[in-house]
Amino acid sequence: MCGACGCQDLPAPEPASVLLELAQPLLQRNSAQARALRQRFAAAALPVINLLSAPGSGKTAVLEQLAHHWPVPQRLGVVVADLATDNDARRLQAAGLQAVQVSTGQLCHLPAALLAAALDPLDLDALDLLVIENVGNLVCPALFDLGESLRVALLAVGEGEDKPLKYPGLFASADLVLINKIDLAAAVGFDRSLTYRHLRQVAPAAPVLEISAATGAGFAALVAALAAPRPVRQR
Amino acid sequence: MLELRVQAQQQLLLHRRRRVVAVVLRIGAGACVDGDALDLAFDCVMAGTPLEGAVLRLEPTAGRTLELAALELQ
Repeated sequence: MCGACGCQDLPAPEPASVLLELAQPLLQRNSAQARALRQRFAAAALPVINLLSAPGSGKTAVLEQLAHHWPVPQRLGVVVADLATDNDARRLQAAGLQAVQVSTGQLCHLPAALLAAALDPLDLDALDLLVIENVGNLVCPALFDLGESLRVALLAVGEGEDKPLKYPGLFASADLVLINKIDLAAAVGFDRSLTYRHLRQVAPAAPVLEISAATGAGFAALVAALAAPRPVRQR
Repeated sequence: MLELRVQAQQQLLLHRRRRVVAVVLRIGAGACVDGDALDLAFDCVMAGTPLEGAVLRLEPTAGRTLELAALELQ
């Protein structure tokens, strides 16, 4: 204490701020968890598909129809992610698939940590294929790596030919694009060439398959595409 | 946002600082993140945390980058 100038009365100086240059990916925790999942799936020699689309494009219906075409439906596993209800898992179980439901609560996407926890009831060694039916959302799910070997974007006729342009992140990240409800193409005035032109702009390398979950059209080609061997994909 | 809070709190612990003064995020055009929406949500989400009151600066970039570029800590 200084009695000469009263310096003890001055407030303590604010500590200097420090600027940290980090350049850290914001999703590094999810990415680390996705890498662990990728290793887990590789250890089980299990191909994994991340199925992404807007709500109502027909993800669950596609999987129900896939059960009719898959050699042994009980060897097809599905993790269904929704904000609420287990309706879709029940439908898929009724179709003969090994389906588990994840409720994401307030989250608009499925993070890798939730997926890892949801796998416990499934015997991965007893599956030929695991499908992640992601939350119906064209934005956030595209950001989160889930350790999948194939990312599939589903688009339905009637959603609008410019959907790929409006949601380029998701479509650009897709390894395969499915156009569903093709049986309704004429009824909704689907412009095939415009849709393909828009897809080529954002996802020039992704193959496109036209399917109908209602009639089964295109599912032989879909099964062949899903069953084809592929290299482990890193994201 | 949650990831941002976790990373910021880790840095605060590491450097023995109390609060975050500024956050710099580098966001790619293809990252599916809307800068305006992020800006709007930032103050609400960070209220009551060590990031409360921090200034958010967004650095646009190309590609799908979504990165915590820098933190200013006090």
